[in-house]
Amino acid sequence: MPRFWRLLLISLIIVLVLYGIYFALGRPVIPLPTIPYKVSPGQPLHSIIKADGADQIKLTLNTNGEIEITSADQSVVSLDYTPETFDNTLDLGERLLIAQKTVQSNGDAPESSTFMRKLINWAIAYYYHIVRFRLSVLLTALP
Amino acid sequence: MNKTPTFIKLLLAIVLVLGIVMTQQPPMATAEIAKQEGPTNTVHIDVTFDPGTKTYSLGGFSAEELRQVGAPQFPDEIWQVLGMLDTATLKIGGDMIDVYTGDQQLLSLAWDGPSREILYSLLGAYLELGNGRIDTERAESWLDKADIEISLRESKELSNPLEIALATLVQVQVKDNGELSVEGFPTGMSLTPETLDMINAANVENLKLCWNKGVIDLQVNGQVLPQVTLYQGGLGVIDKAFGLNLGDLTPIFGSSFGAGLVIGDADPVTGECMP
Repeated sequence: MPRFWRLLLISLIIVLVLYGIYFALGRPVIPLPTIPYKVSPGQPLHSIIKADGADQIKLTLNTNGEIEITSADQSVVSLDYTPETFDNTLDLGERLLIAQKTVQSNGDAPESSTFMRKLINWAIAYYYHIVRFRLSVLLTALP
Repeated sequence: MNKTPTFIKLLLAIVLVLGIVMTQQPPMATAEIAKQEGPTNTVHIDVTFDPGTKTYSLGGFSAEELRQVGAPQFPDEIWQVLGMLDTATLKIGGDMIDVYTGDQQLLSLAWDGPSREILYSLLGAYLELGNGRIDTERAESWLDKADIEISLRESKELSNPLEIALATLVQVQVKDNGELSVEGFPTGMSLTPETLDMINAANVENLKLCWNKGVIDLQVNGQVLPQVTLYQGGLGVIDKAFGLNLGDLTPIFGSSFGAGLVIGDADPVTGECMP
């Protein structure tokens, strides 16, 4: 067997074995480093972040279907989604956006991108079913 | 020469093992929702009153909070009557209405299907005088399995929080001209023409909203949207940030109810909110 094919085969086997272990472990969420973001006074989010006393709000996205906002370790709001409900939300949001533009422009309906919708849905489904990550953004209010 | 078949065998073995592992999906939670045999619409309201200061507390809301939301203040005649009461309780459950004062039963009325029919015809006759009408089917969906308890207590204490668990959806309709009605009764409120145009352009026909102790389930045109959970403690942040003065939300966060909103002549929203 040529060297190239052997390497490819070995790589494929390693990937399959690793994913098999990941799958057997119940596809746990892989945490990624928290992204810090400073919010300056005058920005719309500043007053909300300042309101909690700790001057910090954390936005966490678990791609296994949960988005959560916490403030000083206290959950404020969380949202549980599936690829289906996410698609329904996109559908509704898109219809409302088009409707708003149609009403404002007296009947000229803008077109939506089917390809973009499919791409988003595919990405959401992939990170929901196949590999799951936890992305966090820590918003800190500047004094 | 011998290595190639070994690789293929190994690959096949791994694919086979992984295939078996992947097909062994974790058992789905198939717990069936227990069928509710008891009352499905529960409303327990506790009212405490103090004839000395002529103030009252209702459903866990203080006199001051009630005043802020425009709750009515009673005239002296009412306070004189209340001053003679120690406790009074009205219970509607099963096929009976019971009224108690103190530990004594004051009266008991039949509350079965035929007796409610009489009430509906009396109410219907009264409403027809004002060009209104009573929807017997809707009334039955509310009252057939109702568990209502209203208790009045002379006390300076804060009343107990409201206990509301309504399975029946409150039917809200937006008419073609934007007027809002609840269970067929006009509210005097209406949507702006711009909002109505946008809703119609987006082809939104109906909406089902269920609130269950902070958990919000929403369906638009039958399509389920993501479930939102609001946390009572965390709402304090939003309250402070926007200066909403929401007050004590414990009664709301202890309740469950839902509404079905219909735009124009679309079909009514069916189903229930299961707490």
